[in-house]
Formats: sequence, structure tokens, C-alpha cells
Amino acid sequence: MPDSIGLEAVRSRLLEALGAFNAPASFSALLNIPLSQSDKVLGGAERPSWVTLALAACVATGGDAAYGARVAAAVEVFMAALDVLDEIEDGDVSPTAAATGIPQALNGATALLLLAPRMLLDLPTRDGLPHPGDFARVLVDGGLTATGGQHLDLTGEGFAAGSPEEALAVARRKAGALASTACRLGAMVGTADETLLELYGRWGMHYGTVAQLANDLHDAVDDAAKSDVARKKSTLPLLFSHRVASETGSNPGVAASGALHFTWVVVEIERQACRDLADELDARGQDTAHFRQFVP
Amino acid sequence: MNLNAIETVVRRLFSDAAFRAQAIADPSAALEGYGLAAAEQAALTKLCVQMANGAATDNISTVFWK
Repeated sequence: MPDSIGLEAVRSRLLEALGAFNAPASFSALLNIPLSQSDKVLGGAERPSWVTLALAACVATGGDAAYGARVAAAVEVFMAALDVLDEIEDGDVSPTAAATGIPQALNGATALLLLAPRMLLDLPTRDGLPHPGDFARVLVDGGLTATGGQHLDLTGEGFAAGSPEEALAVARRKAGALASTACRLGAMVGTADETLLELYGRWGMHYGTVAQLANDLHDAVDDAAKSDVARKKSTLPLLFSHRVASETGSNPGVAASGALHFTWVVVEIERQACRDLADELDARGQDTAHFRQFVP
Repeated sequence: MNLNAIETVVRRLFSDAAFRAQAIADPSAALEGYGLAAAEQAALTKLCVQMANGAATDNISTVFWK
């Protein structure tokens, strides 16, 4: 994995970007809340997921580490914004909203959402490699895809999404799209080869889907902490369990229905897709050692 | 991905004790005829192996890999 030096560089770039924003002090304090959560660089995470994805892709393409740190910092800011929005939209616990109230949390998320592409547009231009505008476009396009996925997720409550295909599509359009974006952006630090970038994007999509489904699995059996079960969200495991109950007339519960194992199989297929894509990247001269640690 | 075929197999594993025993004993033979792609067959075979090794159905930590 990218080492602590890489993370320290990302941390520095994050603080620099926040400082350059020139926000009122109380607003800066608000923006720090989502950025300082335990899974984030500023929160001291040893493996902040979005940053390590972007940095791993940067390393794989042989990209410049300092440039990669700036890109990874922008990714971190963007994902922190989406975290706040997702928490509020899903009615989940939101540290930012809890500290400031929803209106201020939304405004803060808006600021971070705007800051992220600005950080990418501020990147220096390099000969033969993607233009800063290209980085910003990839980030924004990934976010747009993810909002479509979130829309499907929100409208799929009450088991409104009837098919496993639709449920899988939501996972792919949410975390899949975001992880694809992080990987592609990291890879763009070292290459402009569209074939390679597409492979990195696909790897990220499958990896993000794995993460989303794993999260859905956990939430399916932890109904005390999460709203998925209460809201009858059309996640892959809950939908499977619901279909079994509906069609058999008996409700054995999520675990005994086979829902967990069904989702596990789907996740395993996605994981194998990651391994296959890593092999393909290796064959094209990429250094995928870090990627392989995400999906052994 | 043929989710319908995967779902059919998993449901049968959980509802049909004879099929489950056959799948645990010989996954390849049990999974024939479902039109599974190679990756789907491999993942379901892995599931059958996990079930043969006693993976509990209600313990999510045994379902998750690391």
C-alpha cells in the first residue's frame, strides 16, 4: 500500500487546499468534520480507502508521487462531500449534521463538492499526460453516475426494485462508479493511454461493487444500527430474502434464506473480475502489486 | 452475470438437502445444467467448498473473506 509518506503528502495538500479556500473560521471548522472522520486522512486513517485507491493506481502507472498526492487529496474532498450528502439522504447518523444541523451540513457538503474539481483544475499541465480539465471532468462524471445510482437506491425502498439485476446495478452505479473514478484519476497521473485508463476504471468499478455489496451484507444483518432493513431497501441480500419469503410464504430470516451466501457468490465473481483485470494490467506493463493487496 | 441462475442454485442449496449434499460432495456435477459462466461456476464451487468446511449460515464473519 502507499506508505505513510504518500499519505502525509495528501494530508499536506488537503490542508493547503482548505487554507486557500479562505473560508470563515467557523466554516473551516465545519468542513473539517467530514474530512476528519476516522476513515479519512485527516482523521488519522492508516488506509483511507479512496486515497489509497487513487495512490495505488498512480503507483501502478509510474505516475509522479507529488502530482498523485494532489489528485488523491481532491478525491478525498469529493468523497467527504458525498459522505455527508449520503448520510442525510439515507437518514443515517451524520457526524456533520449532528454537529451543525442539516442546513449547515448541506452547505458544507456543497463547498467540498465544488472545492474538489477546483483542486484538480489547479493542477499543473504536463506534456503528453491528461490535462487538468480532464481530471475534473472524470471526477464530475463519476459523481453524476453515482447520483444516478443513489437515486435508484432511494427510489428502491420498500423493495420497489424487484430484480437482483436492478439491485446489482445500484451497487455498480454507487460505490462502483466512485471507486472507478478514484482509480481512473490515480492512473491519469501516469498515463494518457485510454486502454489502460479504461482497465483501471473497470477494476475500480468491480472493486467498488465488492465494497458496496459487503456493506449491504453487513447492514442486512445489523438492523439495530442501520436503516436498510427498516426501510426495506432493495439491496441484493435483502431483496433475495424478501423474494424467498414472498414466494414460499414463510420468512426464514435473512441468513437462513441463503441471502448472505447468494450475495457472497456475487461478490466473489466481482473479486475475480478484479484479479483478471489486474492480470491484464500486469501484461501491459503496469505495477499492480498495490492493487492486488485490495483483492488478494 | 446470470443472477437468475446463481439465485436458483443458492435457493436449491438452502431448500434441498439432497442437492446440498451432492453439491458439497461433487460441485462440478451438481452445477451442471444451470448454464453458468466460468466465473459463476467457480464462485459457486467455492461456496460449496465453504459449506463443506462447515461455514455457518448465520455467521457473517465466516461468509466474509479477508
